[in-house]
Amino acid sequence: MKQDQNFQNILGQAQQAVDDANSAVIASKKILEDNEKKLAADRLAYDKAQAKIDKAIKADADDLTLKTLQFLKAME
Amino acid sequence: MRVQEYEEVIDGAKHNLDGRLAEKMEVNNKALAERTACVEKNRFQAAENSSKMKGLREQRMGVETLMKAGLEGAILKDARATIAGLQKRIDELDALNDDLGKQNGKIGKEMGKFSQDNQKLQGKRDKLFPSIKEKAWKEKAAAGDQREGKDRGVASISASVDDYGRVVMDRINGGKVVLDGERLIVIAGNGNATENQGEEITDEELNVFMGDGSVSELLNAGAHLSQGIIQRMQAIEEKRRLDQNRPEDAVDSHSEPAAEIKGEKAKKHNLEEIVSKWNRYVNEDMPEHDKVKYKIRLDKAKDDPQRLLGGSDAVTRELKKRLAKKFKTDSAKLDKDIINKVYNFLRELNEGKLNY
Repeated sequence: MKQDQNFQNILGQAQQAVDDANSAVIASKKILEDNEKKLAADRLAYDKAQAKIDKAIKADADDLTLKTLQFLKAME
Repeated sequence: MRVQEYEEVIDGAKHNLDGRLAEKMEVNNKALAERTACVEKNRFQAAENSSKMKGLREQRMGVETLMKAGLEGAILKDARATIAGLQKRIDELDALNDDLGKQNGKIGKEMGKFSQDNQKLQGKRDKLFPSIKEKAWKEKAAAGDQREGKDRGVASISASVDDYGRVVMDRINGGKVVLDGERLIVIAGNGNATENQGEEITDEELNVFMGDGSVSELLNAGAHLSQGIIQRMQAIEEKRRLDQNRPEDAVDSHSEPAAEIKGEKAKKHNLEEIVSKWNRYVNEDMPEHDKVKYKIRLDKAKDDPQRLLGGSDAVTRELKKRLAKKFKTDSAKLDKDIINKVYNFLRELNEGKLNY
C-alpha cells in the first residue's frame, strides 16, 4: 500500500513536470508568433524609412543635375 | 553660376549625401538592434525549453525505472500514460526549439544583409570624404606631436594659393598649413599631419590665413574655399571693420563667434534651450535600446544657462564642446556619427522642425 502511494507520488511529480512544461510550450508559440508579427511590421517600417531616404537622395541628385546644367549653360 | 559657386554646390551635395547615407546606416542599425532583441528572446526561450526537456527526461527515466520494478494493473496503465505525456511534451519542446532556431537563422540572414549594407554605405561615405578615412593615420602620426589649436600654423609666414586652389602657408618652424575647401591640414616639419574640418577650424586660424587681406583676395587668387569658410572669413572682415570703428574705450565684454557679428538671420537660442532640445532630439531620434543614446544626452546647462547662442556656428561649437567633455576628449576627436548627429540636429533646428 505504502509502495503504491510512493508510485503515485512519482507519477504525480511527473505529471506536474508535464503541466509545468506546458507553460514553456505556450510561451514559445507566443514568442514565435509575436516575433513574426513584429518582424513583418519592422520590415514595413524599414522599407518605408529607406524609401524615404532614397527619395530624398534622388531629389538631391535631381537638384544637383539641374544646378550642373545651369552651370554648364553659364559656362558656354 | 561661377566656378566657385558650383564647387560650393558640389561640396554641399557631398555633405548632404553623406548625411543621407548616415541616416540609411542608422535605419540599418535600428533594424539590427530590433533583430538582435528577437534573437536574444528566442535564445533565452530555447534555453528555458532545454532545461524543461532535461527535467522531463529525468522524470521519464524515473517512471521507466518504476516500471522495471514490476508495476501492474491500474498503476502500470498510469505509468504508461505518464511516459506518453512526458514524451509528447519533450517532442513539442524539441520541435519548438527547432522553430526558434529556424526563426533565428532567418533573422540572422537579415542581420547579415543589414551589416553588409552598412559596410557598403560606409564605403560610399569614405569615398565621398577620403580625408576622413585617412584621419586615423594622421591622428596616429600626430600622437607624438601633440599641439593645441593655437599652435597650428599660427606662426606662419605668408599665404599663397597653389595650382589646386589650396591656400598654403609655410610655417616658421618648418612644415606647411593648407586650407582646402573646408579642411585645414597642418603638416609638421617632420611630415606628421593633422587635419581639422569646418567648425573644428578656429576663427583665429582663419584670421591668420587672411593676413591683412580679405577673403575676396583669396578667392580672386583662385582659392577653393567652402561656403561656410567664406562666410566665416567675411564675418572676420566685418569684425575687423567694427573694431577699427570702435571707440578707444569700448570694452569687449565677450568674444562672440565671428558668425554672430555679421548678424545672422538665424534665431538665437539660449544654452538651456539648446541642451533641452538636443536631449529631446536624441531621445526621439534614436531607438530606446541604442546605448549611444544615453551617452550623448547632455547634463542640464548650469553654467550661465540663459547665455544666448546666436547662429549655427555657436550652437555647433557649444554642443561639440559639451559632448567632447562628456566623452573626455576634444571636439576634433568626436566620433563622426556623433558629429553628423549634431549637424542633423542643427539642420532640423534651422528648419524649425524641433518645436518642443
